[in-house]
Amino acid sequence: MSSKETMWERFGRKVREKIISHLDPPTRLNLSLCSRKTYNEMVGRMEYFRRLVFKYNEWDYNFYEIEMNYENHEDCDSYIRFVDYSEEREKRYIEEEDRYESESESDNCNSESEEISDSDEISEFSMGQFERRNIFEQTKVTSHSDVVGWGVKTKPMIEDGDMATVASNYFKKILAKHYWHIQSIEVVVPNIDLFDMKIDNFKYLDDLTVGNLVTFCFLITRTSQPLKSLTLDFLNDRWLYTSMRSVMSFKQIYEVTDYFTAPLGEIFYEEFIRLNAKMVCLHFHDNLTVADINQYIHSWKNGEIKNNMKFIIFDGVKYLGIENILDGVENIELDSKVYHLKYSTIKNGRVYRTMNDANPNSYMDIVYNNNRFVIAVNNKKSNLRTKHLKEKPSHASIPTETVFRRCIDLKEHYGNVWA
Amino acid sequence: MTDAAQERSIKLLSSDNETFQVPRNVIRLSNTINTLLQDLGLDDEEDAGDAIPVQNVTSTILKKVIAWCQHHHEDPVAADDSDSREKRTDDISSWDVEFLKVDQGTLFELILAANYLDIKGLLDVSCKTVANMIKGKSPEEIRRTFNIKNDFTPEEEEQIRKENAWCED
Repeated sequence: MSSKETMWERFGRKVREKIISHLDPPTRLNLSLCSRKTYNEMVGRMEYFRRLVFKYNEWDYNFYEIEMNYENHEDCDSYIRFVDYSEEREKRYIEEEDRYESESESDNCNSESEEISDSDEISEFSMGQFERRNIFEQTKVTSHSDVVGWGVKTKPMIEDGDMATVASNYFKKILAKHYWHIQSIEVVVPNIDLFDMKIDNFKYLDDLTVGNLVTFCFLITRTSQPLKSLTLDFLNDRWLYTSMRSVMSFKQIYEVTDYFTAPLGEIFYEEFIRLNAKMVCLHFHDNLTVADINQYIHSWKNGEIKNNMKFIIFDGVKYLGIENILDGVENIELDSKVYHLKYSTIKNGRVYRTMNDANPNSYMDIVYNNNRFVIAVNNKKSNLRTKHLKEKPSHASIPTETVFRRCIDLKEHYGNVWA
Repeated sequence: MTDAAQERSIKLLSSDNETFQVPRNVIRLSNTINTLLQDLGLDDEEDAGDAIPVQNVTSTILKKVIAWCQHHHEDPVAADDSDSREKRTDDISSWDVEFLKVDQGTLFELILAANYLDIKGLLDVSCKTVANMIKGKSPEEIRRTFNIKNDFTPEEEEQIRKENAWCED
């Protein structure tokens, strides 16, 4: 070793890389502060992590404080908004909504021609720059936070891409918080839709007693585009799965395609049983083939469904025409009986919700209320909701919580709606 | 590699000229030795002949390396280095934890030896140990650990801290 060579340098690049890969961001920062050399070695990573980590302190509910970093704002202009909910506000919004409704009936507006103009909103976020925004400020409620819900705005023209971005940001957030030690993260989540976002919402349920959970939702999808990123590796990685289980709990885990035919599906099923799940919601993505679903369903069909577990198949069922496959499978319901994934658009964003195909004016939003699992349901007869929301003039006056018309404890809801 | 070859021994010569006889199936964990034997066509030779010099590794460290290989030689083959898995640091086996309870100098030498001999498992676990060792340490403490000389001015250091305050939250 030359007299000027430090032990750190003596390790060589490969070893240094290996050690660094195990360091959390604060330690990386401290390492970078050791000398110019270590700084130069670390600076790229620090920037990388800066882009990755967002602002994840106050992990629990300050989800709204999300740093947006969209390098290509042409493709990505999503943001996530969280809203509070209170009875008082609900009452106000109901009144407000009624007023809009009556106005809408009178002016016979054409909602299509008044499609959201995203350009204004894009400019608000200085896309392409690294900027932190507290979007929530615009709708923050100072009273109590009964319900934390969320809304997602996407740019309509590239809907899937946007959702992928939002979802990937969620993912990054999760990964940054818990999986910073994975050195290279390039998250691509194709074909993510709103139901998937709801699945992600389950991250809030960490402290919820699992036994009380009624619903587990899982995305079972096949990616329509090849995932060359490490994301899929993460998701397909048994270690990650195990780690996620230990940190995030089972219900937060996304599942993507490649495990579709893998034993993990069976693991899930066993897990459902272990957790005494009473209802398992499955969302089969449209890009699955009938054969795919057939295989999956039959892997359970041939097994023993215990505990009167009910399986709900969301979405894609009719599209794929798989009703016949499901014939004779007890405890599995088709989506005709349950809410179907849809989304509605409001002026400042799209609020994703489950909707009942049979009654498009009826929808359900799943939200989380402290330690309770809460569902917001709207059974409004009118179909004007979407219209008038689109027409609302300003960002601040269009609370996303409008969609949360009825907050019902899931248990109660289960009895009323799902039973 | 034949069964017979697996059962035979290889001689390794440390940098301080001490010879170690190591079962072939133990030293297989070293990709460097594997490659060497294969390249020289010695892999199937019954008599390996002369000891293979391991120039960068002292006898003390080589003894430790061999001990580690002996304990782990039946482990499944580790994944490629490109594999991004296993970046966690809390999964070191208790045996390895005990094994790596050595002074800092020895630990660093073990890393260098593992790197030189290309023993992925040992390199991984020793790097994790070092990472655990420096986690939570201040820059000054890390400098002392690795003999790094601080060439930042206080102002520069402060500036970097400011720029990266996000990660200290």
